[in-house]
Parts: sequence; structure tokens; C-alpha cells
Amino acid sequence: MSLVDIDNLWVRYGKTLAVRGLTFSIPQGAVFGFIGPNGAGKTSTIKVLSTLIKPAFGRVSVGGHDVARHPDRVREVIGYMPDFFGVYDDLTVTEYLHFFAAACRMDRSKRKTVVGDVLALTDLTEKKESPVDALSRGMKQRLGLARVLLNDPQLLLLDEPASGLDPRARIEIRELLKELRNMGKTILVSSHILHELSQICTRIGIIEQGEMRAQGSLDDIYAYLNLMRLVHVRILNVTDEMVEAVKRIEGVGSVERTVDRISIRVRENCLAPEDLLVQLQALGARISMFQPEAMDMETVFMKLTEGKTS
Amino acid sequence: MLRWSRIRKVAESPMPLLAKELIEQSARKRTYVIRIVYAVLLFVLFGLAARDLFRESGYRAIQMMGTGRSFLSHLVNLQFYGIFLFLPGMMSGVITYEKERESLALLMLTDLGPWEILFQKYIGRLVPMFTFILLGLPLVGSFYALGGIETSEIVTATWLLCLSALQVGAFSLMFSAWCRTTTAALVTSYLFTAAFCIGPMALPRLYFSEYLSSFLAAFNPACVYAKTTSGGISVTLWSLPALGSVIIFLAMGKRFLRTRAFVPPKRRLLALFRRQDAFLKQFNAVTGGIVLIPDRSGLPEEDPVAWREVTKTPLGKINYLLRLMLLVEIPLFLAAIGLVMTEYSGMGHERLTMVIYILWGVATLAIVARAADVVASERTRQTLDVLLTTPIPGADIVRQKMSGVWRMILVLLIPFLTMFGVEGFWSRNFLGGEAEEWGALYIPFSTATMLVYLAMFAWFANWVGMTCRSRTRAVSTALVLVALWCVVPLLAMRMLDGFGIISLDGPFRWSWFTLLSPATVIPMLEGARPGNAFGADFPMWGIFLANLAWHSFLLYIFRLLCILRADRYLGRAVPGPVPSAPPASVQGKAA
Repeated sequence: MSLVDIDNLWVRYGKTLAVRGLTFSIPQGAVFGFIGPNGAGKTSTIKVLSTLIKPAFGRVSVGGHDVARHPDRVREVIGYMPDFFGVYDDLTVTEYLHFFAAACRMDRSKRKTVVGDVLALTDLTEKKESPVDALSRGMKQRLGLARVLLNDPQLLLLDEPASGLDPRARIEIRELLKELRNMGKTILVSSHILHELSQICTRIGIIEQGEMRAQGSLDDIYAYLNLMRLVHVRILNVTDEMVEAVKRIEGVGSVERTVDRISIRVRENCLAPEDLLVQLQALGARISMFQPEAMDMETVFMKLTEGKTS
Repeated sequence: MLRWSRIRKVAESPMPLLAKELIEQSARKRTYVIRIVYAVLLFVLFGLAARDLFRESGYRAIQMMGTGRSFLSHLVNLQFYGIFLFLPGMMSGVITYEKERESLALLMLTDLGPWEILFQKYIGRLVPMFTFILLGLPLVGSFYALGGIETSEIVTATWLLCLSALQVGAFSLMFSAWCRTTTAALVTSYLFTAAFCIGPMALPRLYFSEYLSSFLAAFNPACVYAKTTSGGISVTLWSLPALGSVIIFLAMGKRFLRTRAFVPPKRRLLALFRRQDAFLKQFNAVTGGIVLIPDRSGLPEEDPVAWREVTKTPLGKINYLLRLMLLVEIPLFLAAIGLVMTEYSGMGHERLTMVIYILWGVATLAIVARAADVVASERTRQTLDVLLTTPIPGADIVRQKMSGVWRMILVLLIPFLTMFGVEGFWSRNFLGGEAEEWGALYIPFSTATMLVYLAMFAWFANWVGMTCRSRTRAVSTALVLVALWCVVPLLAMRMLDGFGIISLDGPFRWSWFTLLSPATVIPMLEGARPGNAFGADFPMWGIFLANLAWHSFLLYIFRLLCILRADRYLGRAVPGPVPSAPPASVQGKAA
């Protein structure tokens, strides 16, 4: 069952069309990665879902509630984290979370427990009395995530959550998102850090100039694009005949022999890495290393987009 | 192409910041709108100010011969007021704007030194002011043709106007470098302008020594112009204090630019109260732990936005309010008593009235700036979007945001009530006659007027602030509109009087015209006595009640506008149907 349904969404700023006929849905419990160059329409789409912008045309619903007709009901089921963390420089971390707990009309008796729980989940318990303004950028992002979790929303809308963070903070956010995914949360996350999205997303949507270029699971997209996956293999008894035999395996695109390994390009939709391993063993190869490269999201991104904006 | 050529011009300029400022200003519509407004105001006000001279000459050129000096004097005085009114608004945001956008750090990383940054920003805003001064040139040419005026007088007037612009610009720039926000810089600059530039003219009326007034006047080119218009060595000498002050203000501005570039919010008064709390808590052990007003939980319960608006300021807690009241009330009460008791005439309370006018000005400035800023500041800090995705209705957000402003109005009630009380009591018990009768009515009418007017200005400013994107624009637009609302109807009255359509000496003065400008009723309240103000046909209480009713209605309308359209103004999607597919024309455009 879909939690988010977007059908023929158009967003307009004056005469500029930011989103043009976008259609996709996000099933309950899915993590949907929204990818696109700057100005592609990602933030506009997220803002429509978070009830900040009214669609010009089309149908958008969250949890069965029409965003245009019943934005108040939609606000009850979403948690939105914008790409910039604006701070109330006069609040501490605890005050900040209690402020939003009250804004979400949370029962007063539950607030202390819930705030404690989200602080623990985001590893900010030690900072609970610190002024929000004094937190590092990574901590602020974690606090932002803690805020959106306060009312236990069905849908999390995260706009560039890892933008501007150092590697450690990015990994922390990624791990946190994985934890949320394991908790069964439905998440729509936009990001430019493609490699990280590939690790947490169950579905991907690639958008450019307000139009969806491709969507589905990563494997679906690779198949759609007919992309090759690179597999590095070290064979102890490698010979020229064996290399020729590998080339003849169905689904193998090319084979390159180097000093210590052979690099095999396979068509993902024809030959899975595990099948390649079986075939190599069948050829009598004594394998000391078998290393399929992670599918290259950047290649997908570059192939599907041209860097144009609306 | 055009944009690239502009960028190249800026990059190649020996003064890149100045070039950028001037190019940006020339590209803005606002620059030309303000220039036209200034020109219209200057010419209309000059026409009104000099109408007696025109009348005396019977509007015949030959009769005006030799009167150039009088005309010039009117024009120059208006230009001084133009500088006091416009320049703080134009200059006070130049550095704070960079601070709010966090671009000051980038600017300081360039090869430009603090002096260069300050100087180029300074010149960038003085240039439009000098163009405003130039607007008077055609009139000056006409006055010169009328005769009775020396060339040196024109040179002196021009020099003193430029000096005044340099001075007002310098201290506004200094406050811009000192303050953290544009709102604070704007309010401080205007208050300082009022105290430093207009103050010396008002001081003699407030029992201050003539010497003090003369000393301060020496720093004010407008006062120097009143003393000497002949030019030469005397003007050069009189200009030295003002020139010195310009240098000092700029030097202080340069210092603040470096030391206060990244200053965090301090909230000194709040910190002081908290330190007092800690001390009193310790001291309370001695008294056995008596607590008169128990401290409530420090966390929000029902209305989080209102909680933040009131508790994160020194006005937040009842005990802080009481301390603040004692801090303000005692010296104010003593000053008010002192002012009425030392009145020369013994029959009026001119000085107290003067203080009440100043209080009105300061209160209106503070309330309008605060109310215009409440939503604009959320927008600038980028905290509004997050707030808008919570389930709080837009109307509630606006209502809660305004609770801090309402608290401020209640605090301002303290000095107002003190002044009204002293004046009413004095009229009733010491002046006798008609004043005694008026004294009883004065306090309730003045208090009601203060509450209604300040609340009305607050909701009006909030409405203006919600429709503006930046804090600077929100605060400056609200202030300008309130000033125009107060002044334009008065000018219209004067003009109609000048054309003989109405007579300001007759009862017409107190009729429906008072409803158009909030500024008309306050002098009426202060100067009114039964008989001398309204005549037999106009009962005093009736006029005041009508005025209160009209402004209460306006307050209701502004509040309703803010509440009903809250979602739209705040930036939320307003509920309503949306077509499922775009028309063919839109699809064609997209294709």
C-alpha cells in the first residue's frame, strides 16, 4: 500500500515551471531517494508534500489525505527537515524539543519520556542542556532528526540531510537513517551524496528539469539503463584460454587482464555476480579474490541527467 | 551580457564595494521611488511652510523681490529634517545586513581593510542622500533670482546640509557596526537622531540649562545654520565640533566593525535578572525559604510560540516585570513630579507634555519595529518553514507571536500611566476651573487612546511585516507607512486650509479630520480644555469617543486581516481544490 501518491504534479513559481507532471508513489516502509541536479525540482516537490507550497496541478496525497484540500491532516502525519537548519539561538536542546513537542500537541505527560527517547536515539543526551546555537552542524542535523521524530510521523521528508557535513557526521546521519528504516519508517530523502543514498534507499527517483527521468529500485534502474557492473577477480591458475572462456560466458561484456587480477564487466540484468562466480568455478578457476564493485550511482546519474535546470 | 559587464565593472573598480553598492542601487526600483517621494514631500512641505510668504506677497513675483533669504531658510530647514528622517533608515542596515546574511566574514577575508569597507559603504549610501539634497537646487535658483540673498549664504547652507548628512550617516553607520540586527540598528539610529539632532532644540523647554543646550547645538549643523548663515570664518569654526564628531563616529564604527562582527546575542538585562535570581535564592535560605511568586516550569506547556516570545525576554516572568517596573517607575515618577512643580507659568504642564510626546514617539517606534519583525525574523532565520509544518493553525502562530508585543505594550503602560496620572492629578488639584473638569476625563481617555493606538500600530506593522521577505524591508516599510499615515492627513489639512477650502481656526479642525491621522488626537488630548478646544457645538468626550471607536475598528480590521490570511501571508498552502491536469497551453510551454 502506498503512503505517498503523486499523480501528474505541476509546481509553478510565477511563469517558471519548477515541476512538470511528476508521478510516483512511495510504499509504506520504503526509503525513497530523490536525486537530481540543483534546481531540478526536488525541494519544490518536498515542499508540496510538507504543505508549504500548493500544487499548480495534479493530485498529491499523503496517508490518504489530499495535500491541497486537507493540509492540516497531512501535517499530523509528516515530519519535515529542510535543507537548512534555522536555529532559535535562545533555546537549549531540551527547550527546543519541548517547544516542538508542544507545537505537535503532544500530551504533556508523555513529553519528557518522548524527548528523552529521541535524544537517546540521536545520541544527543549529553547535550540536552546545551544551547542549540552552540552545537556543531552535524549535531544540529541530528537534532533536526530528533525533532521530526517527536510526533512519530508516518512519513519523514528529509531535504539534503547530509549536506555540508564532514565525513564522520555524514556517516552518523546515514547510520541514523538506516536505524529509522529498520524501525519501519517511510522516508523521502533528497541528497547529492549518491553513494550514501544507494546504501539506505529501497527506491530511487532521478529528477531533472522538473521531470522524472527514472525511478524504481537500484537494480531496476541499472537494468533499465543496461549498465555494466565491474567485478574484480584474482585467479591463481589464470591462462589465456581461461580468459577467452570467460569472455564467452553469456552476460559478460568485456574482460581486461591486468598484472594481479582480471576485471570483468557484466550486464546486471543478464548475469548476477553470484552466477558469474559459479560459472568461473565451473571453468576450473582457483579464485583467491572475488570483488564485485558497488553499482556506480554517479554513472547512473550522469547518464540520466544533463545538468539542466528548469 | 549586461550582468557580466556589471560584474567586470565592479571587479576592475579601485573601490569594488562602492561600485557594487552604486550599481545595485541603480538597478533597484526602490531607489527611484524613494527619490520621488522625497521630492514630492520636499516641494509640498516647502509650499506649506512658505505659504505665509506667498500670501503676504499676494502671489505676485514683483512683491516677492528681495525675499530670497526667507525662502531659502524654509527650504534648508526642510532639507535638514529630510536628512534626519531618511538617512538613518538608509544607512543603519548597511553592516547589519551583511551580518544577517553571514557575508561579513567573506568581506573581511578580502584584501579590503576595515577602513575601506566602512568608507565605501558610507559613501555608497551618502551618494543618494546628496542627490536628495540636490533636488532643492531648482528652488534655490529661483530664490537667488528673487534677490536678497548672498552667494555665501547658499554655500554655507549647502556645506551645513552636507555636514549634517556626513554626521547622521556616520553615527548610523556606527550603530550598524555595533548592532547585531538591522531592527536594533534602525531603532537605535532613529532614537539617537531624535536625541542628538532634535534634542538640542527641545532641551530649553525641558528645564535643562541653556548652556547644555548651546553646547549640544554646537555639534548640530541644523542649529549652527540657525545661528549663522553668513559663511566665512564663523561657519568654519562652528563646523569644527560637528566635523570632529564625524571623525569620532567613523573611528568608533571601524572599531566596532572588527570587534562586533560576529558577536553572539547577549541579552544583558535577562542575564542580570538571572544573576539576581541566583543571589536571591541563596539569600532566601536566611529568610526561611519564603516564596511569594512561585517560579513555574521553564518549559512550554500549551502555546509554545507565545512561550518563547515572552519567556526568552526580560519581560518573561512576573518577578522580572515587577523589577523592571520598579526600575522604570521610581525615577520616572520623581522626574514627572519635578517637571510639573518647576513649570515656569504655574498654570500648565508644558514640559510634561513634551515628555509625553517623546514617550509617544519612542513607544510607537519600538512597537512598530518589534511587531513588524516578529514574522520577518523567523523568515530570515529560516525557522518559519519548520514551524509551518507543525499542526499549529496559522492564525494561532500569528496570535502567539504577537503576545510578546502585547507584553511590551503593557510594560509601556507603566510610564504612560505615570505621566497621565501626574498630569491629570495636577490639572484637577492645582490648576482649577475648566482644567479641573478636564483632569478627570484626561486619564481614562489618554490611557484608552494609548492602548488602542499602540495595539493598532502593532497589528498594522505585523500585517506589513508578514508581507515582506526581509527584516530590513519589513521594519523600514512599516515605519515609513506609519509615519506617512500620521503626517499625510495633517499636510492635507494644511493644504486645504492654505487653499481656503477649510479653516483650521474654526471648529472644522476638530471634526472628522481627526479620524484620518492618529497624530491629531494626541496633541488634542494634551492641549484640550473644555471651551478652548471644541467650542460649544462639539462635546469633548464625544470627539474622543468617536476617535477611539474608529481606531478600535481599524485595530479590529488589521487584526482580522492578519488572522484570516495568516496561512497565506506566512507561506503555507491554503486549502482548496487543484485542477488535476494543466491546460494544453501550459503543457505546450513545458514541452
